[in-house]
Amino acid sequence: MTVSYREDIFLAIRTIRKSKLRSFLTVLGIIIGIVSVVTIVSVAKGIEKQISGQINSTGKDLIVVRPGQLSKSGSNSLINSLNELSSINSVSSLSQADVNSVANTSGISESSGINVINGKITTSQGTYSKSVLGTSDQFPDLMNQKLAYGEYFDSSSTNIYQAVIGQNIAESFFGESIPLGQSFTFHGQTFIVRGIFNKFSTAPLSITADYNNSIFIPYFTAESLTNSTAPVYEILAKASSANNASSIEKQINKNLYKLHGDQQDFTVMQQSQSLAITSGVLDSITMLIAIIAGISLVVGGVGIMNVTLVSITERTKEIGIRKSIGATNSQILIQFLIESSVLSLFGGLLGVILSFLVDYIIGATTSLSPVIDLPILGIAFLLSLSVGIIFGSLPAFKAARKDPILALRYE
Amino acid sequence: MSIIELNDVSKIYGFGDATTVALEEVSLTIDENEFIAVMGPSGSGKSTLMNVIGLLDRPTYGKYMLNKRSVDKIRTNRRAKIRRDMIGFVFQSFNLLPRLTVLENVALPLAYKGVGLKRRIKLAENMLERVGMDDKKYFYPNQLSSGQIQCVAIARALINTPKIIIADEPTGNLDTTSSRLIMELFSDIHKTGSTVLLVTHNPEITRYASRVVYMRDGAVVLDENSAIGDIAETASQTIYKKRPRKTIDDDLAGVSAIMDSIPQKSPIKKALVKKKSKPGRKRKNNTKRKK
Repeated sequence: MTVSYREDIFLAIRTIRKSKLRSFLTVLGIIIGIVSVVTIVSVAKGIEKQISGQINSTGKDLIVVRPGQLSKSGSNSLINSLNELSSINSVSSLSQADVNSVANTSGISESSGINVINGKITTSQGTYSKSVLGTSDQFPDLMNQKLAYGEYFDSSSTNIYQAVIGQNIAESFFGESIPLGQSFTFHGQTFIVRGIFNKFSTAPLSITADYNNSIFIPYFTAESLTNSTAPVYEILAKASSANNASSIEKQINKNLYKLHGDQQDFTVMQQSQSLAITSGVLDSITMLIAIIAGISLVVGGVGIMNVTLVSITERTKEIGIRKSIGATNSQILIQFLIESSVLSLFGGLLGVILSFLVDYIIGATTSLSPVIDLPILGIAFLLSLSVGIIFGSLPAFKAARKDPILALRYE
Repeated sequence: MSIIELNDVSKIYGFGDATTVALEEVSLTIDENEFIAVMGPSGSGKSTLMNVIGLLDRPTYGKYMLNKRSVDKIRTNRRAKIRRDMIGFVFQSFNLLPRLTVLENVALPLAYKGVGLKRRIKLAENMLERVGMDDKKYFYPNQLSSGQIQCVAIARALINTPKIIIADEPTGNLDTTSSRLIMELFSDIHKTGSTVLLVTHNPEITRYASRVVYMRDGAVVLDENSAIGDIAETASQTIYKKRPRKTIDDDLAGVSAIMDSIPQKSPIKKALVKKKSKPGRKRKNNTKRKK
C-alpha cells in the first residue's frame, strides 16, 4: 500500500503555518520539555568533558590517596553513587606517617603530601581568609603543570617562607597580574611570592581542590607553622613507569592498611578511577534530573493530544470526504499520526534552537561550558518524534474509526 | 449486464421505540450505462439507498451484488478500495477539502490509490480540462463559484474512471444556469459509458435520465423508463402511474433535443471537440446536429 506520506507531511506543515499562534501554544510544552532535557544533558556533558580534560592534563596514572573510604559496592545504582559522593569529604584520617610511607614505596618517582592550613592572609591590598596548601617541591611534576612566572620552591632552599600562587590569586589578592617578589603575612610569618602557576584546567563538580585559587607553601613549613597539626588533605604519587602504576597502587594500599592498624579508612586510586567515579555520579544525577524534566514532555504530549482531538472533531467532515473518495482507515490513521508528529517535531526544533541560546547564556555567565553534540540532537529528535506518535495515536485511531456517513453529515 | 443488484435490502436505524426504517426491502437492478434519476420526498430513503450502493453504509438485511459480486461481507478496508476504484461521489454540498487547491482536490483519490506524484498531477490536469476548469487549478475552493466548485467535484469523482457515479442532489445548491452546466457534464459522463445514479427533487432533471425511480417511506414505489430529453411523465404530474416504454424513435428525438439545448459556449463541448479534434469530423458532427 502506497500512501502519500510526502503530501501528508506538506499538508501538516501547511496547517502549522496557517495557524501559527495555535501551533506554537500547542507545542509550548514540548519546547519547554526539550529545552530542559537538552540543557541538562548538555551541561552534564560539558562538565564531564571538563573533568576528563583536567584529569588528562595531570595524567591518568597519577595515584591519589584520600582520607575516607569509598563504598565500592559493585552495583551502579543511583543511591550508591550519591553515597560515594558524600563519603569523599569525610574528616582526614591521613597523617605524616602515611606521607612518608607513600614516599618510601619502591617504584615511586615523585610524591607529595598535601596539607591544609586555614588562616588570615595579609597583603598590601588587605586581609583575606584563605586555606593554604602545603606541598613538596615535586608538586608541579606530579600535576604536570608548569609555572607561568618564577619557579617552584625547592626543599634545599634556606628560606622556608616562600610561596607559589595560582593565577586567580594574583589579581584578587595582590592587584597585579605578576606579583613576583611581593610578600604577605600568614600565621605571623612573611612569605615571598616566588612563582605563579599557569592556569590549571578546572572543572565544576570535580573532587579536587581549585588550584587556580590556591596558595602553595612548602610542606614542612606548613608542618612547623601548625606544630604538625595540619590535616593531610591528600597524598599524590607517580610511578616511575606508567605500566606498573596499578601494582604500585596496590602496594601503597597494602602498606597504609598495615599502618592504619588493619583499617581501610582511606582510599587509594588512580586518576582514571576517580574520573569513572565522578562521571558515574554525574550520569546518575543527570539521568534523574532529565527524567524529572522529561515530565514536562508528557505534559506537552497531552497538550498535543488535546489539540489533535479538537482538530479531529473540527475536521470530521474532512475525514468523511476522504473516506468517501476511497481513503482506507489506515490511510486516515497515518495522516493524523504524521500531523501530530510534525507538530511535535516542530516543537522539538524550536526547543533545540532555544537550547542553543540557553546554553550560550549559561556558558557566558557561569564556569560551565555546555556541549550540544549530535547524540543530544538525536535524543531531542527521537523524544519529540515519540511524543508525537505516542500522544497522536489515540486521536488518530479515533479519526480512522469514524463512520463515513456520520462524518459526512457533520457540520 | 446488471452492475448493481439489490435484493430485499433493508436499513434500520436505532433500537426499540426509536427504530427508523430508512430502507424497506428495496429490490433494484441497475444495468451498466443506465442514467437513473431517483426522486422522492425528503426522508424517503434516497440518500440511504445511495450510501448503501456507494458502500458507505451496510444494509441491515438483504443482499447487494456489485459488479456480480456480493459485497455484504467484505471488510471495511476492502470496501474503501472498491469505493475508490469503482464509485465516484458527487454531493449536494460539493465536499471539496477547503485547505487543498483545486488540483490537489482532484488528485486526492489518485494519492489514496498510490499513483506517483507526476502522473497524478497530469491526470488531474487532464480531468480539469475535461470539465473546463483547467484555468482554475491553483485556486482554492472558496475562490470559486458554486457551479465551478461542483465541476471540480465532478472531476474528482471521475479521476479514477469509476464505473458508477453517485450524485446526491448535485444541483440542489446551484442556480439554473449552473445546474444546466452540471447536468450537461453528467450527460457527457453517461455517454462515455458510465452508470449514473442521481438523486433529485427537480422534475426538469429527469430530462437527462433514462430511467426514473420513485421512492417513498424507504420503498421503491415506481420504476419508470424515461426518454432522454423528456421530463419523466410521473415526475411532471406527480401522479404515480405506469407509463408504456418509449420506442427507439422517441429516444433518438430526446437525444437530439439535448444536443440542441447545449449552449454554444459550454466548456464541456469545447473540451470534447478539442479532444476529438480530427478536423472534418467536427464539422460532420455539427451538421448532423443542425439537422
